[in-house]
Amino acid sequence: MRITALLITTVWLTATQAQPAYQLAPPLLRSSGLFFSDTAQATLSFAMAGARIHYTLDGSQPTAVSALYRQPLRISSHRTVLKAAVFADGYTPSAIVSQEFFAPGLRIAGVSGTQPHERYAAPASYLYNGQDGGTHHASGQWLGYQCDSIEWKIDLKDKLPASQLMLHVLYNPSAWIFLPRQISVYTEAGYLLQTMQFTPDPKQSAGAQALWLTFRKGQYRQLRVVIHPLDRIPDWHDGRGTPGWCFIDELKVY
Amino acid sequence: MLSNKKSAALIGYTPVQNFIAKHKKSHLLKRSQFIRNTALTAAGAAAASSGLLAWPGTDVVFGHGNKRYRLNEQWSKADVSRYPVNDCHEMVQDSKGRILLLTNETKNNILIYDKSGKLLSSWGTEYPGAHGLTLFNEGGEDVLFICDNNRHQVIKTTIDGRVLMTLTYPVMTGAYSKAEEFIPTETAIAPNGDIYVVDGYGKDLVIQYNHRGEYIRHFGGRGLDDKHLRNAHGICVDLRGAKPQLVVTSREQNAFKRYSMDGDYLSTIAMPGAWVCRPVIAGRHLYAAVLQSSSRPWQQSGFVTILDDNDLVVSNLAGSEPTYTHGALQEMYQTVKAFSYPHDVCVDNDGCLYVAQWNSGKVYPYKLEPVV
Repeated sequence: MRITALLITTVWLTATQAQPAYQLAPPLLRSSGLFFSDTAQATLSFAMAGARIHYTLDGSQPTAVSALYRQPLRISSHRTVLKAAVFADGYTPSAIVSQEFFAPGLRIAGVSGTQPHERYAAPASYLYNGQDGGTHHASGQWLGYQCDSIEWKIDLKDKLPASQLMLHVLYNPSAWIFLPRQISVYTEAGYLLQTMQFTPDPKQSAGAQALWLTFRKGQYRQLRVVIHPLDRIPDWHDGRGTPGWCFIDELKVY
Repeated sequence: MLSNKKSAALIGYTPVQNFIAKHKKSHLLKRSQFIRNTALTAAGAAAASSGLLAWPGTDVVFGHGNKRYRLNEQWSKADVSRYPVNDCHEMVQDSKGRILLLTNETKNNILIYDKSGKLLSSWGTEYPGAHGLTLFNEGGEDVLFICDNNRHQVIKTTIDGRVLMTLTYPVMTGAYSKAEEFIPTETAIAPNGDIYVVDGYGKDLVIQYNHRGEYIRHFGGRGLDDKHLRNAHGICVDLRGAKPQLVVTSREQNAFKRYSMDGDYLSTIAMPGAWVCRPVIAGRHLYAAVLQSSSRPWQQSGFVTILDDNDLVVSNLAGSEPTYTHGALQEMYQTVKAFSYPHDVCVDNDGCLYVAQWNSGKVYPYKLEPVV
């Protein structure tokens, strides 16, 4: 009897000292598209009584005192990052959902070069149609590659001032989709403007993301891009040693 | 070359099984699970009986309207060192009121509990792909139908595990060239004893047999029409209406589909956002575990859904409040991370629910008690 009482007390103390709480799931984020022409609209949903969605648009982490979400948001500045989380009494706040939005950039007249894999053969015009492919590689908007190199000519038609190239790519190791191993951007005459390399990171979470190459500001009529998809999947993955896939849904020049 | 092919195969249309294989990682035990798994001690039992419970669900009520529940994560009193589970796939209640759990742990494929969570007995070592569990009262006697993904078979047994009949891959359909193409996920038994098997990880066919296991017909399968299925993960017989009907899961389409008992397609119940597992009918309601939310795939985003007898969602446990706009159900999603990947719901004769989970750190089932 006394032992039972002691045990109850112990458990009660444990329970009251560290009352665990369930964590909320993140809010549902839907938008009119990541690549806007004038404005983008973003909608956040979380159908649970007593729950509040708080958000930021300046890149900071949302807290319970950040702006309270009440209605769809209009976004019109380049590289605005919307971050949102859900809060409710008695629950651990949700993880943060995050979405970046991109202004149109320079007008691209055409992209020509390496054809995607036949199974993910969206036309090259999709690379500058302003539509994002979502997070699923088979949405029809993504160009998928599994080859040694991808070479594109980006035709700007007129000489235009540019200093940045953005490639919007997918990372989803569970579908064998990785960031490219290397991206290089050249002038029309073949002068190397910038090159970047990427190493697969097992801790990175899956999703679409923008890769940026910043180069010497100049007047360019054409840019040439060479992308090397991952040639050997690292050892931490089931596909170790084999080539990874590379998926791109949009490119932009700023 | 071979490896290129392999990765190409994985990236194309990825059958659910590929997804499942890839996303199945051995989870490290969280502290709470460790506590949960180290068998409930005398202290725990005492705490449980005195209402002093230490998991997060103590004060939380899940669900909507008059379908609201309190969650008991510590229902199972089984000793994990002696009666381990792997994936907890499905549960049923037998006519004696006992709760049966099917797991693909071959140390004990079937665990038999009383409603309080006390383990009564166990059996089964020969079902490495144990996935579907259906109970049928055959002339006063309970029999079980087990779908085994790995054995590519449906096995009928007595309640204590004696094998009565084995259905191998259905050659007579003409749809299969070898056993491996047949990956049955669920069975449903009609009042006349006809057996309906769904091949939810194979060709998504529904195959109807008579009670002796003789082939009658098949329907469903993959395709672009409404009558087709994508990941026919579950099936049940709906006896609530004027005529019996079949309700079949089309999980990747986030839907249930109704068919006549002869396989004529009747209608679709859209379940936007919800990877519904098998439909379970008890009383006037239909219950289903939702493996995950489409908005957060493979991120432990499951919940439990309940529909009334008009096929309207009336409650989501740990999921979004169901909303109909101009008659259309709005996308559903997990709201509280109480479940990881729920795989089945069992409703007992007290109206309590039991939730078995796939790939969720080898947790025992949870029990949910109605809030009155």
